[in-house]
Amino acid sequence: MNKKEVFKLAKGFRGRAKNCIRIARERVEKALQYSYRDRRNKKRDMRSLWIERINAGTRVHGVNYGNFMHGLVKENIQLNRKVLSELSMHEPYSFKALVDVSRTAFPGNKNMTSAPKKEGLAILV
Amino acid sequence: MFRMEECPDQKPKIYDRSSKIITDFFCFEREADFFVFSEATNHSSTSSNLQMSQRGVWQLQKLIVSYCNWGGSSRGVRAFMESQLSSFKETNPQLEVVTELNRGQHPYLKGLYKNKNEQVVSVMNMTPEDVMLCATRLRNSLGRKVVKLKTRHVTKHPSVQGTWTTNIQI
Repeated sequence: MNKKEVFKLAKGFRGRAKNCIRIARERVEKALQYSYRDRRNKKRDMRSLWIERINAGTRVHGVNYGNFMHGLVKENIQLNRKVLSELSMHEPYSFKALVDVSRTAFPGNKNMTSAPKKEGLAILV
Repeated sequence: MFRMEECPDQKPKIYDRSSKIITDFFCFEREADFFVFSEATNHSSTSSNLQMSQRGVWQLQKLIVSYCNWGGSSRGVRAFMESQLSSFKETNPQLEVVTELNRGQHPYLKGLYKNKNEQVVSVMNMTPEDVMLCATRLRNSLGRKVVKLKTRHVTKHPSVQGTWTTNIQI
């Protein structure tokens, strides 16, 4: 009955790995190993995704991620990166307020050059 | 992140700094579903949709108890029908309970919900207590499909201030 379980786990695999037991057993073992590893990696990946998003959100307002977080720490705002990324996506005005708070606490960025302004037909691109 | 119901007397304080208290930092929307709130707190990432009524309205409209009067797999259901079904009917006056004779087939409980969804549960070879449990579960649940949630936050309105686009000027 182990074969049945193996095939159940091998659904959606490519080629013979879903039909032939010897190959399926190997691939399923590997898949389980990957899932073990990736349960830990997922947490890392999500955090880096949040940081990317926060960075993008703050650079719109001329502050980079590092200085922004430092300013928040100084003001003892304990919002985590997950929440901050959600704010930067869905609540732009609240996020701007946060960026302003951080900037008053720690005015790190003197010259942040934003992307060059698009003129004419380039706006459509 | 899930949206909480707005408690008028308890505005969430994000941080408290001697004279400055910033409220309304998050614009909490009145989330429609009590179900969603409790779903988020109950961490039902597995497929257990055991919730009560929605906003005080029971979601199960009709319960069909289908049994066989000859078969051995229906023994439990028949015992349930004799002993506990009437009390179940009395405790749930809003529910329309129907018994259906289906000879030669295994017994099942079929629940019809307000969202026009039907949930069929086989009660083959179950004791009357187990059948009672099944019936109670059907009565408690919303008619949602039993599916694992993809995200922890289930919301129709993810943004209050408007999701960011390249066009907005702040």
